[in-house]
Amino acid sequence: MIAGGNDSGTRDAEVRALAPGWSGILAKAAVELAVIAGTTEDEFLAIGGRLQDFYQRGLGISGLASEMVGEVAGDQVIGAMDRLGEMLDHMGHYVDRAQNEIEGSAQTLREILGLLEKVSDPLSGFKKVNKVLRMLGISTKIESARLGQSAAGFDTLASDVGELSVQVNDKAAFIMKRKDDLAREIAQTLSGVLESGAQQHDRVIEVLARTRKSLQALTEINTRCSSSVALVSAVSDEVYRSIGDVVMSMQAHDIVRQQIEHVHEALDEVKQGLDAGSCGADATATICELQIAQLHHASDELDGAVRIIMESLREVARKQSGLSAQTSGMSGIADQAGGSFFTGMERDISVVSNALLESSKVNQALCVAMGTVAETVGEIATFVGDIEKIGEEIKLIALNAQIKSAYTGDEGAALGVLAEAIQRLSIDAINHTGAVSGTLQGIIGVTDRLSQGVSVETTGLESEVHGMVQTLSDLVQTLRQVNDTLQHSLHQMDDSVTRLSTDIEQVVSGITVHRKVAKVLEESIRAISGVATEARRLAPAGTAGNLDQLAQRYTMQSERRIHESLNGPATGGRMPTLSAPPPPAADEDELGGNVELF
Amino acid sequence: MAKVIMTADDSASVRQMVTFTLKQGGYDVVEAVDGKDALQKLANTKVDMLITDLNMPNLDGIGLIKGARALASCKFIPIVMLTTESQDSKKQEGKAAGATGWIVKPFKPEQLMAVVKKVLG
Repeated sequence: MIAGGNDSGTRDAEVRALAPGWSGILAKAAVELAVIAGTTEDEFLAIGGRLQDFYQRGLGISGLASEMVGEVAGDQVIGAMDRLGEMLDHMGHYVDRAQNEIEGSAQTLREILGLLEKVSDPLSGFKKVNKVLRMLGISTKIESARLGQSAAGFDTLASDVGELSVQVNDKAAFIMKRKDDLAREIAQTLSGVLESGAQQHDRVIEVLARTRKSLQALTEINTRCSSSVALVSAVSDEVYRSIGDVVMSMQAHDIVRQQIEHVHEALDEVKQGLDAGSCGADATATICELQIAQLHHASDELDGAVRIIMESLREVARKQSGLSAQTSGMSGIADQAGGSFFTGMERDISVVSNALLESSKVNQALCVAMGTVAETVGEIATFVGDIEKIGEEIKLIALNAQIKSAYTGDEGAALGVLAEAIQRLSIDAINHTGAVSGTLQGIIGVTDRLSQGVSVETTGLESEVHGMVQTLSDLVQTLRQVNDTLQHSLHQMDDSVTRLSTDIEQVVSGITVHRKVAKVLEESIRAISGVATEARRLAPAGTAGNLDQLAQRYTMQSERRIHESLNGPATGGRMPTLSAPPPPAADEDELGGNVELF
Repeated sequence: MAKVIMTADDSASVRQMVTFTLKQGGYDVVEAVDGKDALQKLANTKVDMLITDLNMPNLDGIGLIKGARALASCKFIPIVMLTTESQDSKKQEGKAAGATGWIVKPFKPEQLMAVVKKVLG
């Protein structure tokens, strides 16, 4: 029971009159404090129960983040990067070679076109030969008819020459047509090859440039991810620190509970003193003032601790959200709608594959063109050979005619002249065929060279293209797997972060314990203040004497400091600094200032 | 096999936080609601360390330490007081009863873990 202290000189009668009222007020406050001290633990336990869950889920999110950066910085991606680097060199080499080949082939085709043009002149010579032969044939027939029996056989000779000249004409016309067709075909191929080649070249160059940028970006992502393991770890440490702050603040409940219980006990004792008439106005005022200070401190402590709990839990959610966003950014995943770096890269690589396959088709077209040239030139050569044979035949006929005309004597002199002319024409025809044959030989030589070159090159390029396409396909497969894994992890992480944030916010917004306690403490403080004010009016000088008895029940340094600040001479009853300093971090003093090992 | 640590505290929320912290560190935890409960459990459970509050109903921390030290299984285990009390006289009392160390509440998880690791070796 509280000692009365020195109340002499106070208005005893007034104290006795007011004591029952004070006793009632303090009893009511004591009961309310006892109730509130015993009913708040469940809410703290509920928060603590969720803390374990939040911590585990936070660990899971950090683990996912680690997996994601590990995936991007892992062997698969590094292997893909190496292969992509090799592929870029390979493709660069291929593009140069293919372009050179196309340009070389185009040049050869132009050369063939020029040679074909040269065939026109000797072919037009055949027309002239044919015309003159026909005229000579007619002249021979006329002369033969005039000579009668002595020129027998010349008529047949004329018919033969006429027929042969028709054959020369037909074959020359055919050669001319085939030559024109071939020239047209070559011109078309040339235009297609050049156009397509230029397109493929530009396309591949563009994609190569883009792929180089992708490789650069992938290298940067890889570097970022390799170094971001530390970041994930740092965020995990920060989360653990926030959890640590919650753990520390959760203990405020126990501390505040003890403080409130001590106030309750003190008020109970004052009540008993007032009821027994042993507690005067000064003691009542002093003890009440002290309990008011203790309750203010308790309220502030609890409020501060709960706010730290709320803020720290929100900080956990913020950190995990930040980690999720950072991990997404680091690993090249901008969003969840497939807008991934890897998706873009996969698309580029598909374009490269298509461009390479198209390029292979250009080479195949060249090969086909060369085949056509060779075939057509072969056909033309056959006809040229036929003309040559006809020329030889005419030459023989002419020679035969010359001999016959010599036998005929002076009368056959005209026929001899005609036979000589026919022979000259046959020689002209043979010469023309020689010119055409020479040009054709040139074409055949060029065609064979190009055909062989293109064939060898096409085989080489084709196998190269197929090798590259296969490698690119493997690369796409690898990147797709990485991308799928990342997307899956990202969805999982985003989902986890969203659920964690929602759950944390739900828990935080449901925390009302500090407000409930503050309300009860405020009401109690108001009630106790009323008693203290009245008592202090009756005992203005604080001479309540030794309150050590009160101090005996204290279990915390903060309580003692408050007690001393109100009763000790140094502070003269002013409010003390309420918050005890937090224990230093373990690394400041190995284990911390609040730890002592014996 | 994980080491077993007993936490004795009349505050359920403090026990919860101690358990949470120790489990994160990979320890198994046995909880006791006061000194008497702790002593009963110590008689049947082998623990590697005891962390106890000072002020508890039925049997306080000092009484618990004395009782525990009387048990053969607890004679040499580390016993750390975890309390709001920070008075030297109380600490001396605890030390005399057989406490290994003293932590003033509130504790930080890393602090508690550092102490546990240190005293458990």
